[in-house]
This record gives sequence, C-alpha cells and structure tokens, in this order.
Amino acid sequence: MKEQFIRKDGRQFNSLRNLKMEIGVLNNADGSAYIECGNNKILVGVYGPRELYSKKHSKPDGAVLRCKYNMAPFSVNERKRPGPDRRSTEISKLISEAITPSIFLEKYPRSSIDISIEVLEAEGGTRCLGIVGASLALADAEIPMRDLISACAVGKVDNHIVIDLSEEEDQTGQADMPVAIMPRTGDITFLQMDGNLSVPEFEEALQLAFDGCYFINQMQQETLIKKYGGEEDGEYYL
Amino acid sequence: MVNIISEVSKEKIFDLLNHEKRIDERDFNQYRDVRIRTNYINKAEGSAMVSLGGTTVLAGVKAQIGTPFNNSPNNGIIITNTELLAIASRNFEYGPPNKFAVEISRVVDRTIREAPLVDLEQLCIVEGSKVWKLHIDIYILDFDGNLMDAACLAAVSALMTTRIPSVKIVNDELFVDEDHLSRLPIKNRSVLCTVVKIDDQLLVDPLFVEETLMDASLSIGFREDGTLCAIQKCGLELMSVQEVMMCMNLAFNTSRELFSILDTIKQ
Repeated sequence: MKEQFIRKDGRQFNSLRNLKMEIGVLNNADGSAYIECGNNKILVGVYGPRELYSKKHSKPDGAVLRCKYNMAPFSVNERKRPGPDRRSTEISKLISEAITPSIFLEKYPRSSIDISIEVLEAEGGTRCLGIVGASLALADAEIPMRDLISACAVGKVDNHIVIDLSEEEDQTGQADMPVAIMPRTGDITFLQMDGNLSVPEFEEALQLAFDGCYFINQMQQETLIKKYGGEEDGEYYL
Repeated sequence: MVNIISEVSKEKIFDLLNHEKRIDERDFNQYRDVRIRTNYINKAEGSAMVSLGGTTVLAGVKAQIGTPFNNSPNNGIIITNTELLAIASRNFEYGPPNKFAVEISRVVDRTIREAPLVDLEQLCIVEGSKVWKLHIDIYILDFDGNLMDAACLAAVSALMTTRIPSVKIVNDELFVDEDHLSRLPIKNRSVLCTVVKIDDQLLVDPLFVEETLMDASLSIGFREDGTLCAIQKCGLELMSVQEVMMCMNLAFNTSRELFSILDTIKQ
C-alpha cells in the first residue's frame, strides 16, 4: 500500500529531492561546501583550527567548535530581518552539538574551529542540509574526524511516513523529525521532533531516516573522493 | 578588522609596481573577469551572483508593500543593506554591520538612487499610503578586494532582473496578482568604479592585498551617459587634484566596459 502513495510533488515516500554537493567552493575559507536540494541552497565555510583570542572562551584541553546558522534575508518568502533570532540561535547550538562528537577536538587545545552555515535559499530541511554541508566543509578543511555526520528529515504527511519533507509538507504535515547520525557506528547525534507520532510510527520514521542518512553519507564520500582522488571503482563503506 | 601582510609580500608588491607590474600580472587599468548569474534565488523577486576574480557577491531584492516616508508620499522606497559574512574572510566576524559594511551599503545606495536607476514615482500604488518597498540585501560570500564595485554590480543586476507582481485597487482594497509580474521601471543604469592609489601609482579593481597597502581610493559612480552620480574617497592619505582627475579618467573607461557587461544581462 505504502509504495502507491504519491506525494504532492510526485515523489515516493522514500525518495529525496534532487541533491547536489560540491566542496572547495570558497577561496578564502579553509574548507567549504555548497549543497543544493530542491530549491534549498546552502553554503558552508570553515575557518580553523585557529587561535582563540578570547581566553575566557578557550579550553586548555581542546578546541572549541563554534557554529553559526544564518538565513539570508531573501531566502524566504517574507523577508527575514538580518541577524540572529531565536530559531537560528537554537539551530546553531544543536548543529554544533551534532557535529562535535565527530571531531578530534582534543588535538587542538586553546584554538577554535568556526563553522558558518549560510542559507541562501530555504525550502524546508535546511538544518539537516546544514549538518551535511558542515561535515563536508570540515573534511575539506582537512580537520581530523571520526566520521562524516549525515542527516536527513523524516515526517508524517497524510498519515504516511515520508523522507525529506518539502516546505509545503513541513507546514501542512502532521510531524517533522530531523535526524543526524554517525554512520560508522549508527549512533544518533541530533534528534528533534515536532508534531504527533505514535511509538511504532516513530520507529518506522527512524528506520527511514537511517536509510536516508546512509544514502546521503555515500554521496558525501563520493563528493570527497571526486575532489581528493581515491580509487575510481573502489568499494566504499555503506 | 586588522589585515596583516608579510613584509616580504609587501616588498614584492611595491617592487613590481615600480616596474609597472601587478602581483596578478594585470595591467594597471585592467579589470578582473566579471561573471554575473541572474535569477539565482527563486524566492527573491530579483537576484544576482557576481564574481570579480576571487570576490563573490550575492544580491537579492525582496519587494513588499509599505507606507511611504512623509517627505516623499508618492515615491517608492529602496533600502540597501550589506552583510560581510564570516565565511568571506578570516577577518570578518559575526554581528551587526560594521563601518565597512555600512559604507558599502550607503555608497551603493547613492549610486542607485542618484542615477536614478529606478523610477521611484512609478513604484507608488496609493499616494501617501501604499508604495513598493524594495529591500536590496548584499551578501558578501568571498572577499578578494573591490567590494564596492562588485556590490554595486550585483545590486544593479538584481534590480534589472527584478519582477514585481501587479497590483489593482478595487473599492479601496488592494489585490496583488502574483501571476502577472512586471519589470521594474528602470530609468538610468549606473555602475561604480574604484581606483586605488598605491605608492603614487593608480590601479583599477584592487585585490585584497592592494587594498590593504593602498594610500587612498576613489570610488566613482557613473551613469550611462558618462555623467557622475556618486563619489567616495576612502583611505588615510592625500590625493592631489591631478590624481583625482586621472582617477576619473581611468574609472570612466572602466565604466564603459562594465556597461557592456550589463548589456549582456537578459532582462
């Protein structure tokens, strides 16, 4: 039954929007990534590790990861006032927590790694794409990491569990649940939910999110291999 | 924002200048490659991504209906804002626009307003109460000098390709028809050209390192007929009258090139 449910934009329950990833797009940043997904356009830049001048905020036993999620005024239908608001402050905190476990921060005492996620155009699912872009940009900056964090959103629309909600599905749907995982271990580093789900539905949604994350992780690895070489037809871990 | 350049590179740049050469092998009056991509952001009424060598700027125009200012009840409103994003340079920091960002906004705003690029009277819907309000947001994505010219080029390209919905008034009620879009009333196009003075030499389109070492710079806004619409001098050093006139000449020639680039934009 589920396979026959066709979503408003013609997708199946388990298909993602058109996804494009690119790295090394900025000249000045130490690492950068650009993600397009449907009409979402996200640019991520990483600076660091570099000396953290504020002694108050620096840590003697490791680097401090500072993450800023920021939306362009023209990225949404109604112009957004520039500068931080409650939503972007919360998302910045959570993204930074989602990524921290993947980085060997202890290698860089008293320094900072700064990630800026700039949403140039938003169409639902920007926080997950921000996480995907941030881990790519960190890898592009050659910062040692345990894994590439992958993320995707799942939700409930018209009583069906679906992946990668569009803006319309996000607004009219019954639930929205962004998830980020460490693909190598399958541990969850980021989990949010808003809406209504039963426990079995939650389990189903989580399984779908894992499938999506593994798929996206594959794409992330291919993006890195495309730039930095590696075996053309080698076996990648999935 | 403190920009540090090593003594070695400094010496190298001055050395080359003495031999009439630049660090990136351009001529003194040679502009970098300009690339313009319009209609980049679908959610904006108009947008343009402009790259000028290693400098990349994204401008987006959002149109809203608002109330006019008391001193110009039948004129539309244009508001320009610039954000120096932290991804653009290791010296840029998060926070409200600093003096450099505000200066860019204001000079670009003057170039557009004084041309005038857009016929503001045609943006009036109901005199004294309803006018179009255009927000131009200039996003600096990557920084390698000459933000002034790049920001202006992006703002002008974005405005040239902006489409606003048509508005009807029936029985004092406003109807916005999102399906029928029309172009902005473009009157006079304008561009900004920056010339910097380093070590008594005059160069167009400065790189970041050249801007850091410059004595002074002059940004000049030209209209299409070659008349001026804005001037801004920056920098701590002096400029003689003769130097200003030479800058004017250099900038005028550059402005012709920029207008021919703007001609290639499909409106």
